[in-house]
Amino acid sequence: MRTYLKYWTIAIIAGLILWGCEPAYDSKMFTIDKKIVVDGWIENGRSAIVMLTYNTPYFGNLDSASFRQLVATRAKVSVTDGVNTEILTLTKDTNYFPPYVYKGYSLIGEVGKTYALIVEDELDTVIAVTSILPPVQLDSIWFESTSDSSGIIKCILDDNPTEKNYYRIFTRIQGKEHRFYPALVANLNDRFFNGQRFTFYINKGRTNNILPIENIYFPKKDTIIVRFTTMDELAFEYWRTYDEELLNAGNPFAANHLSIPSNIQNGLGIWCGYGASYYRVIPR
Amino acid sequence: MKKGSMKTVLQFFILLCMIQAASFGQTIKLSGVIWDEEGQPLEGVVIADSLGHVLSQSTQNGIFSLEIQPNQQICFRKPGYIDTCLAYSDSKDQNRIVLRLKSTQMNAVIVSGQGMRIKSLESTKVGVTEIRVDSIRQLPTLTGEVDPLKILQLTPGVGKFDLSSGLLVRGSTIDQNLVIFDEGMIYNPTHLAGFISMFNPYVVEKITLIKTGLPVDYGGRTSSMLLAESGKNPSSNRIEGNVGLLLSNVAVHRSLGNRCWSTVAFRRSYIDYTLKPFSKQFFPNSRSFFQSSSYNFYDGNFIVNYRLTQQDNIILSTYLGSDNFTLNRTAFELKYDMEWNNKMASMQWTHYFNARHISKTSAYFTKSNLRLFIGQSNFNYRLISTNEDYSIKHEHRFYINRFKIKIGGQYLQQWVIPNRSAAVLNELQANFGTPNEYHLSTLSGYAESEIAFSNRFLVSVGIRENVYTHLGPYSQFVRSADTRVITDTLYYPYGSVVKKFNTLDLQLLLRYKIDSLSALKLNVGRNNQFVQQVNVTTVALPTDFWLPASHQVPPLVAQQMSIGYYRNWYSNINLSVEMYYKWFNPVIEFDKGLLQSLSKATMEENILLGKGRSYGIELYVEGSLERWAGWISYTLSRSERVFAEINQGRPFPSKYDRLHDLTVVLMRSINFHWKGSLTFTYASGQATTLPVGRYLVGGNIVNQYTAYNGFRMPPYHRLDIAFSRILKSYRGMNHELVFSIYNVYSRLNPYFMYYKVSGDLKRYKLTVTPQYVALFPMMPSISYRFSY
Repeated sequence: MRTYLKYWTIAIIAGLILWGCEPAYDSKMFTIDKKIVVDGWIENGRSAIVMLTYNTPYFGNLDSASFRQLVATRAKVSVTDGVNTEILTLTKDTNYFPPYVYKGYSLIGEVGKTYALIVEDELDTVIAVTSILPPVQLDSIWFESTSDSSGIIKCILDDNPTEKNYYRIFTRIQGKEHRFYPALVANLNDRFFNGQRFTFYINKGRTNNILPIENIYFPKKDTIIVRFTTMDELAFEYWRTYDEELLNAGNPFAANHLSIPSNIQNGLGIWCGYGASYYRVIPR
Repeated sequence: MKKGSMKTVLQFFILLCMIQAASFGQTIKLSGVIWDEEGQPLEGVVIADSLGHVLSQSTQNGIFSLEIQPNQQICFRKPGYIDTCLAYSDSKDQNRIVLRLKSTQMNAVIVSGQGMRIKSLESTKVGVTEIRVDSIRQLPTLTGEVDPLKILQLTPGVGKFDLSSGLLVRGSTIDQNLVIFDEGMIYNPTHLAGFISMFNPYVVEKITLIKTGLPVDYGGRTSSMLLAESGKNPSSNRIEGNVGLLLSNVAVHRSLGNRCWSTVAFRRSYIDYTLKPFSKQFFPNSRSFFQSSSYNFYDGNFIVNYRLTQQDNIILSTYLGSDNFTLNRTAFELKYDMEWNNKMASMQWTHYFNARHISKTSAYFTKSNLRLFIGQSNFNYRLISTNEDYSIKHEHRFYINRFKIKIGGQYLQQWVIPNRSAAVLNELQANFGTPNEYHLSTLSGYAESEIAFSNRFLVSVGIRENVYTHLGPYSQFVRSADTRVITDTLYYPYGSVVKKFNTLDLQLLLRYKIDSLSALKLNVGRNNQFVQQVNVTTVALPTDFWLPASHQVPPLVAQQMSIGYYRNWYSNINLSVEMYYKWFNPVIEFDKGLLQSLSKATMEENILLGKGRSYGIELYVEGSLERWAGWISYTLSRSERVFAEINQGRPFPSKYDRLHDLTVVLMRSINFHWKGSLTFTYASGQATTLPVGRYLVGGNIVNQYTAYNGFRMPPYHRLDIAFSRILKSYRGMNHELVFSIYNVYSRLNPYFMYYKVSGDLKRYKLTVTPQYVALFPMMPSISYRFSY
């Protein structure tokens, strides 16, 4: 709910400043330390998926040649639960961006376990740790129309008052999308509804932050898969700050310009354990 | 000649010489009070000898005292009044001098009156800037109306920023400056986030800025004090005002009987009506943000000045100001409404026991209120933020030969609601934690003594003791050390003490007069502040709320030292050079943005504590020569902060740090009809945090940032000009047309930077370009001013 507020407040205020005039600027180059960026996760019942890239200086252009340099494809990526270890295999998968993904097959995520990620690359070695929390079931979930052709998804959740729960919501339109995208207001912290019977909406989120917001409603004629996940506090802090940064960067009224707190030692990015429950929503 | 008679003549001659010598050594003492014809005491009256050398001046309550030779002619002078010259043969106290007014002329070039020059040499005050609104009326403006606060930004030590909802003095933040209008405190002295101040130029006669900490008769802030006073000596019944493109202003000054004066003034903006029709021209393809938004403000003053008896004077002053901003985007079913207002009512009662003893009693009520509402279909969010203060103060002043003593006490009661939110989504009410409100009381006692050790050496010592108490009702959360989960709530009932602080403020000032035209001054001081403003966004907005000191936030303590050298030249030119060094502990920063704070139970848990310091040197030259007048001010300064949690504990420049700050102001009386003026300002770029790197996560580009405030924006500079044409007087009405151009060469001074990201990741094409947002391009304005 407060993320609704955030979203609208920022949208208005961004509009307020954008009508100001914009003078030209000659860019400067900054030097930065090159670091490994991890975008990886493991969830209950599935194996690990990790994407590795490097960071790049801020200003300037990127084209296909320089993009290729950003992807780390020669690293040794291993995941361990303390007992079993698996070295992930690099595969090409155009459902993700960049389309080079290290995938696991044998080590399947289990609820309650802790998983460590070790990346050994020519640049550096980075380590991260996460755990899979028990997934939480929604009480009910259904589609509600907002117009003739589209609508939103409504959910009811009974929050457990004895636990601190952090939720993140993803959706995928079956047949049209090949991976899960976070919902418009994806992060929920049970601090605001601890122990309550909480009703919330799911709007369609952005596929990436470069293109403008297309459509925040789901089409009626498609089936939508909802992935409702739980995670630990560190991972939640990462995603919450990440979403703030995507929305607020460029807004003087909200941006605080602090780098996102990564849980990767010596690197950037996130290694996240999800406790996921899936729902299929068929609009009628 | 006979030898005997020679001896007698010689003896007689020696005796005569001795008598003469004795009488040369003898001086006579004069003291008394200077009044105007209406029975109001006159301050700033210069007492000069027949050669024009200034001997003394009258104090704030019209009191003067000096030592002169018998039968030496002295003249009492004040701009706007007819000189009164007298000679005394003997000491006399309880003198009553009355000065008569000259008829006012609007077309006279009045700049820095003699009063300003003398004050800087005679008094112990260091770092004081005084502005008489009359003398700055012809300066260029942004809105068509002269703004005393904006003019203060042209003086040394005061930061110049296009939009800032208050004063920034010597590296301070806005909340560290006390704003007093007619002995009443004002929380937020601006409209529209700093676009225009609350000071109506037809109501406010004089503004004094004391940059070196607060004198002990005021407390609660650590950096500077702005004292604004309404006109005490209105010359006659009159109506005056200003009609401009963006706002209009009318003030009526009237006498009610022969011992009572009143002023009623009202201002309102109509930006919506004048700008909206033009916005279509300028933004034809825009998504008509202008069309769906509206902003307006109004403010009003009502002041009554009553001379109850010969010894008693009462002033009642009230102020009300309100700002309203709304946005209605029906496409998104979005409604946004922000309203903030300020109210103040004050009373001052001055009682003259005799020429040596005065008492002053003052009381005020001030309230600052922000209300925010956001609605989108069936989602509503409300925010309120309130500050309400009541104060009463009583003091006695004694003027005894070389001593000036001030003793007094103040009781202040405050009620603060920093940030209370409520959100409703359909039926469900969001839980933002227990809303906290604060009940505070501060009891202070102070004493100040000014001693003239000799004609050259003057010392002033002041001390102020404050007892600050945070009273219940109040709830405090107790968290377990490891899990950070709330395990307990401490509840303090009504009237119980939650937290108490006992603090001491000190001020020491020394003045050494090198000769009659130059002086050296030193000031050392320490102030305490109990309520600080939390800046939740990167720019100052009314949404920044006030947080009182309590368990998690201690009072702010600031210490400062300044030293200054002052020189006057007879040809009406003054120079001052001041150096200062301040340090503050602790300063507060909000941990992350406002909207992210909601994961913590109370506001105080989001506060980070750190230290700050600022230092600099200020050069100032002002003068008037024939038809020219003006000043140059240059400040070289640094302002830094250190926080353990920010920037890995390394010091970083504060948001308001600017290395160079230069202003040039020129005024010229072109001929009988025309006057012109010009201001040029230059300031180093502001510090900001900039992204240095980018990386990919979740299919999105995310930023990596520099050290906190590690990047400097391009410098700020701007030129403004104004011309005023005096129109022919019509039946006793004086009027003029003022043409003003703000930012003549239209420099788009960057206010904020963001980056435009374009391209398509899937096609491996991405371009990121930095974009600046500037606030004001060239802005011309015309206004019509009248006085009847």
